[in-house]
Amino acid sequence: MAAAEAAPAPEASGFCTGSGGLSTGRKLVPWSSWAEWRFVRDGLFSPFPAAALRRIAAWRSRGSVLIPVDVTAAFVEIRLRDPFFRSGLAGDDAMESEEMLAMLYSMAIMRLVNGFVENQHKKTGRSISELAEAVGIPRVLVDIRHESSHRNLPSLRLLRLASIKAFDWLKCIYWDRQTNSIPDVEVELKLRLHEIASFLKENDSKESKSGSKRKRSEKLIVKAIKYARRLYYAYPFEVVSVLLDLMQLDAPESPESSDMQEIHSLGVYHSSDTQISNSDMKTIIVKLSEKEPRLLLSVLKSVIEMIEAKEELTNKGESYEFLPVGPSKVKRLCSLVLWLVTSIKELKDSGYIGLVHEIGVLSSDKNAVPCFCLAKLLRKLLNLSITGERCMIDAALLLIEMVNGNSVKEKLRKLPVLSLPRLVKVSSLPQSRTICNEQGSLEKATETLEMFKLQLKRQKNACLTETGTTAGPFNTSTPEKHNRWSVAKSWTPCPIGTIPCSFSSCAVLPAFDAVDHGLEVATLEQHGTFDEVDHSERFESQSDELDDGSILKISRSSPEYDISDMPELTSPLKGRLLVGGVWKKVSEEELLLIKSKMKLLL
Amino acid sequence: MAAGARATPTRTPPRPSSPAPRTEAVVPPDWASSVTLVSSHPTPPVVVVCGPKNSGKSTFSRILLNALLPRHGKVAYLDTDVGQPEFALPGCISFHIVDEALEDLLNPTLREAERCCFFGDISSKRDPEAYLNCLFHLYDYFVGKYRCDENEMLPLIVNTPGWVKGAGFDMLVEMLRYICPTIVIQIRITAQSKNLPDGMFWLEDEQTGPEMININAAFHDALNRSLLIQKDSCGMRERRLVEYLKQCFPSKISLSTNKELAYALASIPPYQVPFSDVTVVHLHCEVPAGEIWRSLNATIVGLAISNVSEASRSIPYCVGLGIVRGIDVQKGLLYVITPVPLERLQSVDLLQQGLIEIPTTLLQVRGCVSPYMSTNVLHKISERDLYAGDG
Repeated sequence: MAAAEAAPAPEASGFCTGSGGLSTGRKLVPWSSWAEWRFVRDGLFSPFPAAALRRIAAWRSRGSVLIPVDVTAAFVEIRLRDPFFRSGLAGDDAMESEEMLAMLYSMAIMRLVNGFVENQHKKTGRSISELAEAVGIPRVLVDIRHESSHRNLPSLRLLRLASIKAFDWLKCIYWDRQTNSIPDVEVELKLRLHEIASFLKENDSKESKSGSKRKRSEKLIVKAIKYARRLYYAYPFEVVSVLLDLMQLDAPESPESSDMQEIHSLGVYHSSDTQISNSDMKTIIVKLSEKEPRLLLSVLKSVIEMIEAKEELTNKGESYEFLPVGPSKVKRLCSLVLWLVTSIKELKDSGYIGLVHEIGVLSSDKNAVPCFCLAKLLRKLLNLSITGERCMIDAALLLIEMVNGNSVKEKLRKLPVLSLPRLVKVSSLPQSRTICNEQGSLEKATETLEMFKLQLKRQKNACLTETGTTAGPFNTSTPEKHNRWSVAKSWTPCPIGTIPCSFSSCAVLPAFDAVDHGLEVATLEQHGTFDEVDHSERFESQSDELDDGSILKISRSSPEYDISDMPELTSPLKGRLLVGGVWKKVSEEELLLIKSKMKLLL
Repeated sequence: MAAGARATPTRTPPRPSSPAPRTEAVVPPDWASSVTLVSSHPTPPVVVVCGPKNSGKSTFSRILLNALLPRHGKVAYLDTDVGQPEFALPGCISFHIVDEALEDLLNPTLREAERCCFFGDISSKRDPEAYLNCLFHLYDYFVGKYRCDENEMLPLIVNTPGWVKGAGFDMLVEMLRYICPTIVIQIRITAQSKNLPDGMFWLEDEQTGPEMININAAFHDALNRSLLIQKDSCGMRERRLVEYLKQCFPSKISLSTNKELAYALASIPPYQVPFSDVTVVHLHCEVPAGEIWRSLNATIVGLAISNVSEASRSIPYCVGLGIVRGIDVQKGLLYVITPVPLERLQSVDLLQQGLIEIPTTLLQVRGCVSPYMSTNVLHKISERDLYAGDG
């Protein structure tokens, strides 16, 4: 409290001028992201502020709206009613009474002046005008505050002029300054990463030099890593994408050494940036994940999604002409997958990651990673159609081994059983037994995976056709007496204000680390799923899903549900509906029909 | 300088002039005699305790409650101070039945209410009419249940807020007129201008009023001026919410620090409820239809049951508070954390959003910082910033 009142501190300038990195203090704000704040800012200063004003109404209901935001919105709202400013605006909500308008303006100005100096006034006892001058409030506003509270209401003409002044002042003192102090995660992170990289290089180069210098730069690395971690907590998605960005996955083909510790020396990342070698990047990622193991999962998920996206493009028939680096990039991505999985394994073996079956409510173990996250990643991996890649198979096998601590053998035996539909079950069993016998045989594993995938696809298609006919049960099924409230299943820790869901369409909910630690499907039952799979239930439960919205029910028995994760990053979910675990395109009419039927049921 | 002294922020510890931390309730002679007087009434009394803030109303009420217990077995308690509730949560007006003596006479304790209304703000000034309606509803409930049968009548203590001027006074008058207490205890302090008017200020003419007892605040300084018990009401509210939310977890789990609680809250599987099964009510703000979920996310709500069956005053009653910890618009689900047990939740069909702010300590724990706790917020345009800008 006292700090705020301290005499002008020289270091304060760092905060106000330009993006100065993350501030240490946090404050409760009504917006969930800076994007939302920008949306409101742009709206308020545009000719069509209605949406921004609505958002501010929502902010007000949350409390903690800042004075400048509140007053700016007030000015915008008054102008919307003032015939002088609303030229060309349709509607009949113009306010004709000059007296009323003058009152509105005066009140807004009064609140502005008081809002900025009241606290100081109470604390220091200095006069309002003196304080206002110090803060830089235009004198005319201070006079209007005085006049309208103690004397006659100022004229509307003066008030309009003053309101323009006030508006501009607010823009400058709050909106512009705040814009400048929003941290640019990308720039910040890249800066730190380059710092770390250069320290790393330094260390390498003076291997022989004195230990003290070495220690110093190690200290600096630790510091920079810590900062990078803070960035990750605050902006996990952005950080992961920057990390991947710096991995130069788009770089043209370069010679790769067999142990994947290659250094890409070709090309320059950004015109200004010196590039960080991939091996340095990997060192950095490992360092980061030692304290925050889930970072590796986030990266892995992103990489798998990148491969998915590539595949999707290929499937759409876009030829490689448009993507000259396509195949090799995929190849690099695949090797990255293996590296990531290997790192996860290494961290697990060295105790940095604790694989747990379920993150306890009170597990203070920040290194705990639920098994089902890996299981889910594994499924994602297996859903990819790249099969020839040896490293993908290796990665999958490693994952399998981690997910099921017992033995690869056991797992492999169950895998096909799990995923093949009834018809193929019988025929696939013998084959899986063969695999048991020669568990080291990767070729066989590839074959199984291939088959596994084929079946998945077949299932998927079956689902699509099946769900096309579910309109029947829709009409006939009687609404069950359902409980309104239930305990959410398969929950994973996530900050209050977010949900652990990867395909939350709502932009206001920053889906933190969506799929890795946040699984919307009943992944807790994952382990059960491997053992007891009743395929006959599946289609039934899908209609259940549509009936009572309990998506959890369906996912228990349908392993292919996760396929729906795929398109989320590459294609917007607009106009799509989750049917049988697949995002299907639906027309407006279909939606309306479903909606009306849902209503009937509820 | 007087102005300087008054500006003491609420969060600072008690003023230097206040007595050493109280360890034991001091019961002055006039308090003791009035307690004896009230508790010796053969018929269970309806007692309203009023007086300016920090004069000791709550402490007196606790002493009185303990004194009434032996004779009547149970004592009804109407908690009307939404800012500093005795047994309930901030923003709630609540009715309690107490059947055991209060051990701590100095501090309020959390107790489950028999009936509770969520007013949704820490001061009744936000909506005096709604405030009084809630209050009257709870009083009606008491009369209906505990005053009708002559053999099973219970005494009632009504503790009032310390807002005794302006609109606060008007509300107190309304309250007293509606309740028609049998005894009114007025606590007076030496600063006369801050006291309530003497006598039966709520009655218009010389109607036959109830018994009126005036007592003085318990503490005095060297000059015999009343010492007011300064409370950190903001911190108290926060602690009360924290204490309440701890009930989400089995008592065997130790949650000694707020950090632990914050992490536990972020991890606990919440309750989920479909949008279509609950109605969202904004108690003090109008929120555009399209903004409801944005408004609700990561805020505290009252979990209420709409009360259409009772014709007189159809005021929803509240079974507890919860945090809307997340909203999945895609699935149409709200995720709520609350200590209210699941069976009880099933009848909850209203989410009342007030202006009770979620304690920020619960929103930030390493690796689990709520998106609403932002860094780099320019929230104070002080001289410091200006000089920096110029220089």
